[in-house]
Amino acid sequence: MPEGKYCNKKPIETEEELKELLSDTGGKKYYEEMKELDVDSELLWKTIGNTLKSRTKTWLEICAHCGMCADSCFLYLINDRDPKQVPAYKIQSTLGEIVKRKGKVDNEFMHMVMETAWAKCTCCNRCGMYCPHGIDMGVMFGYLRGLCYQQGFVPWELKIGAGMHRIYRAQMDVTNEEFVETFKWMVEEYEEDYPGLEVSVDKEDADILYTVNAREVKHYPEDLAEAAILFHLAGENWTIPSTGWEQTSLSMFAGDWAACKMQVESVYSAMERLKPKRMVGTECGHAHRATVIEGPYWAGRSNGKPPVESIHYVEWLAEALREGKLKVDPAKRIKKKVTLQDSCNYIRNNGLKEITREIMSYIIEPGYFVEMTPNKEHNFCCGGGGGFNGIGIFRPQRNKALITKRDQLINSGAELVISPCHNCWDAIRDLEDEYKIGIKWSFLKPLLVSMVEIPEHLKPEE
Amino acid sequence: MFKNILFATSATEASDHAARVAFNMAQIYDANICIFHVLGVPTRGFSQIVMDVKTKEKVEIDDEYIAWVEEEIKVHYSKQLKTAKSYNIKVRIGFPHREILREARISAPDIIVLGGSTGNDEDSVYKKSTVGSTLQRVAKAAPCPLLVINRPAASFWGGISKVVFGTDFSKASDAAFKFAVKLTKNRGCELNIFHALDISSMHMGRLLTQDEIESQIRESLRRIRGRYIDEIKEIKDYSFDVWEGLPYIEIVKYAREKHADLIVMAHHTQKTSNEDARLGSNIEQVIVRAGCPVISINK
Amino acid sequence: MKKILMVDDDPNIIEYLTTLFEDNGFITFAAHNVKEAMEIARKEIPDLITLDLEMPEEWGPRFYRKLSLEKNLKNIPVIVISGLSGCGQAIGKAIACLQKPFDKDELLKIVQETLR
Repeated sequence: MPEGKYCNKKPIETEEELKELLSDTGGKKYYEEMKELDVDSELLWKTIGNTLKSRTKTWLEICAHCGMCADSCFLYLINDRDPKQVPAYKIQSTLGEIVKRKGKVDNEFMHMVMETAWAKCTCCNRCGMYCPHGIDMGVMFGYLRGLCYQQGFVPWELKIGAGMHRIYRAQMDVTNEEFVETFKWMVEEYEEDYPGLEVSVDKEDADILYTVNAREVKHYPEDLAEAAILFHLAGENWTIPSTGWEQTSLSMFAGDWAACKMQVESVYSAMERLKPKRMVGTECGHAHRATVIEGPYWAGRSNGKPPVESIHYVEWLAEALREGKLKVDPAKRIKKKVTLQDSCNYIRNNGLKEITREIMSYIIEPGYFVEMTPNKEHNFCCGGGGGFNGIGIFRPQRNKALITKRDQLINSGAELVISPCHNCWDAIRDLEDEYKIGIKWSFLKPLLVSMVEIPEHLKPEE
Repeated sequence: MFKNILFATSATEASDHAARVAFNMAQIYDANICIFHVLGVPTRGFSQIVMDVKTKEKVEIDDEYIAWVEEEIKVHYSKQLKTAKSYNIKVRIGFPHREILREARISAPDIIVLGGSTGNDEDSVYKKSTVGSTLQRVAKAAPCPLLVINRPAASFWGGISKVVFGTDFSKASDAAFKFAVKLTKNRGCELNIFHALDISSMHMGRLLTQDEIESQIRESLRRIRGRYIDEIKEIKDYSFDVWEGLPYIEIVKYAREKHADLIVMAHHTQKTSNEDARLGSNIEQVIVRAGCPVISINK
Repeated sequence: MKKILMVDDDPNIIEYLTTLFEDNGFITFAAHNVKEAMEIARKEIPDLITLDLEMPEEWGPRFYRKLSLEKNLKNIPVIVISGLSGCGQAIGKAIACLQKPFDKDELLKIVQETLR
């Protein structure tokens, strides 16, 4: 059957198309049409020929079927060790199979692939660490999602999300004007408490260019205020770009590579335009992965780096605390049992495990920090990564996946978990909602704002 | 004086007392009333699923759903809307305090009307994700006066003719005073200026003798006269009083004695407490206890 | 015989209360709004007043405020009878507050105790 009205191989590129797809509540018609969607085997095989290179080819071939990846995968563990959840099996039965059949697969098969790629893998890359050959199935699933997206077999919310990036260069319908307006509004609201608090837009040659997550603008604007306050108290010379301010990438979760490229290029162009010394992103895992780690490759930057040195928020925060730009009032340190969530995208995948722990040492009263088990680069995915949090049809699988993190939290004995990542934060909120274990959770910014000392010259008049 | 009223409501019985006052005010001032309702909180980051605050169910939001909610609101307020001169209904998704403040910024109302906390805090859909209550956060940042009717008992005055203005002689109180004077002149009200002398032993460090108290009362009366006399001269009906005691209790008692139908006070900028959503400062206690609506001025 | 002034804009309530009170040996006066109520109160100086809250024009509490400013009237006991929920503490000094539909025996008991 040819392309459907809602479900087809064309990406969403206009507001009308976006509204149209959004109006199909829950994607009901979308998924109905998907049942009839044809697989373009020729295109599939051609794309594989162009993009599946030696590393992936090797990985698919040298898998020794040793099964070491099994216990490394939290979805395998939580699903009663179902053999079909072994990472090697998952990728071999999907990508491996597609390659074996030279792209000659049918609609039913692609449905199975879609479910595997988005409900049986969060691209947490833990398996890659345990495989004796270093085969990273998370990376391969990331690639596979691209093939699925091209064919139109992508979850409804992610088709929309990729569309958002294509239209707004942001994961939600937030315009550049709304971003700047909201930031300014937040600064105004907190000006009285922090005299001199201001935000400059498009300042050239600043020390820091700050990028955010669009949902902060829409639903959690306090986060913007907190970021401003902390930069202000640390005496930073910082600015925000009027375009290219969105660091996240739902298009990455969707496998829409073209949109990914467009998205990161908007940020890189802001960097080139404003020439800051560094770019600092907000507390988000996949945003950092998308814009700082993978992005340069999407944009064809051969040195694999963004135009400007770019660091994660935790790197900036640790540095500010270390150098004394921000001082914590020891009396206000956290005095209850706290644990720390290790976000896959910048802990396992960008080596920042000690940085986050360094921050813990400043903000928690000694003796109160407890680690989860396992932790650091061995920690498990929150359960909501890779877009899992937002996909309606896979909600039950996602809720099951939350159990892993739930149990880790319970076993740690902590009352509070610090979670410097929007996806992890959401997942933990949802697991509390679902399982009511009594855990509290927080980003770093509100905690820091509540405990930093205000330098004399920045104190409000009495 | 009030041409545009922003009435933030849960559109349930829990907000009926606030609605009574809001619609009454719209009538008295011939104002447009914007019935503003935040229907739910976004749940899954980028998805369209929202937690409906009334039903506590997760729903998919689309135009049809929003229209249905608007219809429900119309039905709930059908009696009042029959006589309301001009009104509009706005339904939003997000966290109430944020959306109220956002709307206030965009539509610049002359006053925001808010009821007391709705429903059981335990169940509250907003509970875990926000620090400080809706009331605290709106009071702190509202760009215009905020009228709060916390208890149903405070909603039965049906008019404004006797205003109590509570002062602590701060700059913030001066701003609130300007507003109280404007309101008084506009409606030909009686204005009763009140100062509470804080004699709680915590505050003073020791118990004062009665002579000391009364001499401080006299001094405070002089201060009131000195600070406010210029504007006061133009008002026909006014009085000053200073009572000793625990400030928020004294103001509530004073308003009760005077049969005041409105209290005006300044909101001092104070950081909302991180962990504890209990209301703390004087004005917050007055809001919670008063037998009439309270207007909070923060600038 | 003791005099009771009933203030309510709803004629059905007035009729009901009139019958109830007169059957139990009280003299009754009826007022449909605050203006009438003040006139009658000043003239007759009732022993007890039943007061509705929400009436067209002025509302109950404003009437009570006026009452409390007059030497002869300020001590007259007031019973609030209202259909509105949450009216319990609307008039702090009222001796009772009954929500419609009220129990006539309860009302009678309060009235008789007050006017002993």
